[in-house]
Amino acid sequence: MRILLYEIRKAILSPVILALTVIFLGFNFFLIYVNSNIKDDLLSINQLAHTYGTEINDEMLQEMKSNYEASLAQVNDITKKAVSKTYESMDAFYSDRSFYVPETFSEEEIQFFNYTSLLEFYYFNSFHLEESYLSFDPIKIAEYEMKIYGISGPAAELIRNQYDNFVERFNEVKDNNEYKHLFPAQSIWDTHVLLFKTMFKSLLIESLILTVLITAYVMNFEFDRGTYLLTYSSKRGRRLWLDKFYAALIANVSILSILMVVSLTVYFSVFSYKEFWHVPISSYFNAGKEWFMSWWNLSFFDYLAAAVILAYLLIILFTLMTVVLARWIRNSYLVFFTFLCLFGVIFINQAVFPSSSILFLLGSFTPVHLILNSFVWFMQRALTFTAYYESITVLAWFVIFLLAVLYCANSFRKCDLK
Amino acid sequence: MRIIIEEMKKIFHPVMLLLFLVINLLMYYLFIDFDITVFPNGRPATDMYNIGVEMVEKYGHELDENELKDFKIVLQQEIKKADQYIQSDQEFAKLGITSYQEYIDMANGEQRNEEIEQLSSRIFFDKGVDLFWEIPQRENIIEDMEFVHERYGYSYIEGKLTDKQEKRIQEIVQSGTVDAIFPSYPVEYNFQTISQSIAITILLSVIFMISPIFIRDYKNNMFGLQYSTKIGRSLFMKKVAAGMLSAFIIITFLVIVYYGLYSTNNIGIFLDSNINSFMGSVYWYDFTFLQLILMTILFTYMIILSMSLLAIFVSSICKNYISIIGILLPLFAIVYWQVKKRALPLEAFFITRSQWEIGFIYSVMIIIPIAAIHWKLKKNQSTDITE
Repeated sequence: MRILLYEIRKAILSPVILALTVIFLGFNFFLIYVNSNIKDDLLSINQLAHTYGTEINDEMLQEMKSNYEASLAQVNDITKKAVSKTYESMDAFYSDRSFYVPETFSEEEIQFFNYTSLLEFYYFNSFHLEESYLSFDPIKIAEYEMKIYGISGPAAELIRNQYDNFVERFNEVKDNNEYKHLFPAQSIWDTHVLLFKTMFKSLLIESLILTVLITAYVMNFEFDRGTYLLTYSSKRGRRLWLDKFYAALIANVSILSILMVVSLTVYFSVFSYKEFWHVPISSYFNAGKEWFMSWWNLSFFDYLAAAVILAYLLIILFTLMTVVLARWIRNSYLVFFTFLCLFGVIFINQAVFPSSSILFLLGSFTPVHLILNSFVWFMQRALTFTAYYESITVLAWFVIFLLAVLYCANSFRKCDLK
Repeated sequence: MRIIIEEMKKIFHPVMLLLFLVINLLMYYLFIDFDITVFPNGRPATDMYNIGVEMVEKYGHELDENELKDFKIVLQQEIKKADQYIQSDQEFAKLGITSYQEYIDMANGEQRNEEIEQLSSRIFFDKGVDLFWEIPQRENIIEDMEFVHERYGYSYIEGKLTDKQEKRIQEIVQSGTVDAIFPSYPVEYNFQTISQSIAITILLSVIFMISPIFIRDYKNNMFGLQYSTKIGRSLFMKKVAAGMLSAFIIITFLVIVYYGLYSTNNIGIFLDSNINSFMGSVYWYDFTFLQLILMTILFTYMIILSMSLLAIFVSSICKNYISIIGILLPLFAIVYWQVKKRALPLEAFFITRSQWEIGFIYSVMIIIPIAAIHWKLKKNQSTDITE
């Protein structure tokens, strides 16, 4: 136990690791800061959701309608006095270029205008929600994507075989009204991309870098220092390798936790999601360019939790990968760069297969593709045709690398130290 | 000299060379390959490129007034050809279109016309008729040339121009430099992305190769031995020299390889064109495209040699491999960002870029590594051998 603790301390308290962690945290804060211009809007949307509830139904629409019409009438009263004009909608008001809004109206009035136009946006969109949602066609999207990526032959067959599942899930979302919920609209505020792409991707890449550094450092510590003959002939002996392995795992998971907890705490304190924790992620307002529904009926909170869990699994997986490399390469510098190359090779593996082959599709079932596409995790997409894309990928690679680590652990017990 | 050669042998260790090769293959495939195999990239880039080639072949590297007239005549001929095409095409006849002008008027008309749109998409995308792609580009070129006094340089600068910028634009227009034939889209755009990717690739390769230079000796406990030899502590400078020489060799090798590959893009015909062309952007200096490429290579050398010296310094102060990577990583990120944003000539000499800023960046890049190495050298001469 004491040895394990010392190994962990060695990793985490190494000045470079600490400094990098701080720099990465600073970078994440910077990312939040440069995107913080939407935070007031999000507050207003929360307020809106608080007033009407997040679920969209006839009753709520009715209430929204009457409030919207009342607000619009008030707006028209104001504009009548100021510029002697009335408008059919806030859209028409803002497209009128005959006057300059900030000069003509007071701060308070402008705020009211903004509130009304927000209400208008959500009322109009909620009113046409069903139509808009039904205009999505998972099969059409799939065919389009296959055309873009030039997928044909058996690969296309494989995807087409899944169409039943696509449609089934689509109908399920339609029937249980998962899509009928208020959420910050992605076409305007892009919060999904901000949180699950910008933030998550940098979190993942940062902790991936630290993972490789820490693992290479801990596993090869004795070889780097030239103390291996001493330590591995002590009473603890070669079992130390296992201690190091656990130490690396624990250290990586802790660093990821630190990065994750601090960054996400700051994120959610800047961007308010107060009313939206239990809104289904497949809400129409959460649809973006590359996704519009999740394979699972997850609330935003569930989705976030699932993403966090997947992030942990991926980091553990990459730890295993580095451990395997560090077993055979006794120089942490080379381990780092070999890992980079391996990462790159896995990333471009699809180039080897023709796009008609099923292997081409399976080529995206890798942790590298997962880590680079965090914003479409658990989302229904044509190219990752199954609902179990994430599970299959993680499970398969875990089996491979756990076996590899077992083999390494065994082989290390009897290997030549020189 | 022999020591330097021996040190360089250590840098070019076979295992390192192998990884160097893999890194370069990957970087090439991920970042450079596309700009070489897919140039010009789609349409109308291809048409712009073809028109540019045609113009240079016909008019030389500058377009004077008579040549502009001729170019207009060519446009009229093209339009006539388009008319003939339209007249002989059944689909146009069905819609009652008899000339190119009628077609354009209908396509750009106020009302959306389903049939015209379908026809356009067939002509442009399914059949890919060159004429219909080229005519608008030719019209744009003529327009750019005719309004060069009013528009050149202003269209892509936000806000007000400073006196200096104004003067520079006037200078280019007055002196006739602006008549240069240089299709900046797609030639310059392509060069911009590819030169950045090449610089980044070489940067990564060089840092990878030379960073372990000092730490290898530290790991093998060589310092005690080295300091007590006849050469003693002046070995430090020899190793620095070996590192810089290796960096220079690697850069030269990769520059030859990658720019050699770039030369297969068939941009040779534009090499003597001035980059301050009415078809392109405004720069602070009068360069031909060839000079611009040479300047880019020179700047690439400067950036990477500066970073190499810094890497050598980091190597000399670190006690394990992880610290080297940990320190070099943020530095690499900064340089990467500079290369992408402003350090290479195309961005550095752009009219909106303050030349003081660029001077400052390059001074920092030269001074800091030299100062760091100098400090380390001084410290090295008096430091305790057991430290």
